[in-house]
Amino acid sequence: MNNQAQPPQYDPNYPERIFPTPDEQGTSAGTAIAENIERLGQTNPVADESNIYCLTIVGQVEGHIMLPPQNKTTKYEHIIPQLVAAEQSDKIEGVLIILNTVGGDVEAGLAISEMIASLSKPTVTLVLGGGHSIGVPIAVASDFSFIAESATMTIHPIRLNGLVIGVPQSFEYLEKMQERVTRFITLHSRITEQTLKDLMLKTGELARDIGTTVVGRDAVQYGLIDELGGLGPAMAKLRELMEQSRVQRGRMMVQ
Amino acid sequence: MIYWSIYPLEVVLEGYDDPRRQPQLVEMQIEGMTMVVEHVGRAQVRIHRLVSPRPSDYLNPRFAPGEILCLSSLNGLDGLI
Repeated sequence: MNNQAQPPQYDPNYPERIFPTPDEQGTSAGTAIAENIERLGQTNPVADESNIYCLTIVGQVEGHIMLPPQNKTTKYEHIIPQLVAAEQSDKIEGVLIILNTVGGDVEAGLAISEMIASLSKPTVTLVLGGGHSIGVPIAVASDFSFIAESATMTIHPIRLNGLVIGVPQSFEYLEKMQERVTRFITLHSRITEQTLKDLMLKTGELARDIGTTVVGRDAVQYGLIDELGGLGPAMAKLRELMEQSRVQRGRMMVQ
Repeated sequence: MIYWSIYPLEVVLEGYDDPRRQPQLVEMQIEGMTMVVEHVGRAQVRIHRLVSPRPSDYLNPRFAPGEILCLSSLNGLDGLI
């Protein structure tokens, strides 16, 4: 009798094993755990299929140029298909975006913001730690935004870098870039253009730049962010929005 | 690229023009997906980028950027392009 334990073999179905299919979940979640013990010698917690997709944007928002390895980056070419997957999935009903970013590529950041804003499913953003520079449009892109009390957002103008052709052209170009961001922020939050520009051009707050650091409560007061809160309130709001959209969809089906 | 951040550009781009600090990237076909990877050690690669038309591939944490794959344990490895 060959009773020897077989060495664990790679199974192309392995990734799916961690995330059980719906029928597996209810009827044989125990079997899946047992299989994991057998196969890997460990109990992988069997993840329950969540109807909320959580997206984290941390570090630098990396765009067209790959940043040197000392940077912690979020690559936009990876975020965008994830948002596409969330949009087309039948199971995902809401998206929670957690932000702790220091800024980055303007084009990439705006691309992510537009994707979030145009998602048909309810979205909630939560700013923890910081949502600076290009993190600001991403933070306001959702249906409802939260900021932790200790979190900060730096609002400052886009600075000159990259290929400079001539002074008048580059000035115009920067102005246009700035305008894109400002318009997006004012369209997706309650802040007025004038307040935003005042915050952006304030002197005496930042050591290396002009602008303002807005802390949690102030961000809500200026109308940039909808509410002060952490994970609990953000999740509760997302569930509420998901419920509303479920009711709305139901009503459309009846009509 | 227009870079907008609270970090000074010289900190972010430090070592950018130093070829020794740039990872050597190659494209590979792994499990039906094109991946831009960097070799780290023997038969191991670190994923830098995923190229796939299936959005669900991007939801698989195994293929997230920064993950290390062991080539000997993979199926559907079509080798270097």
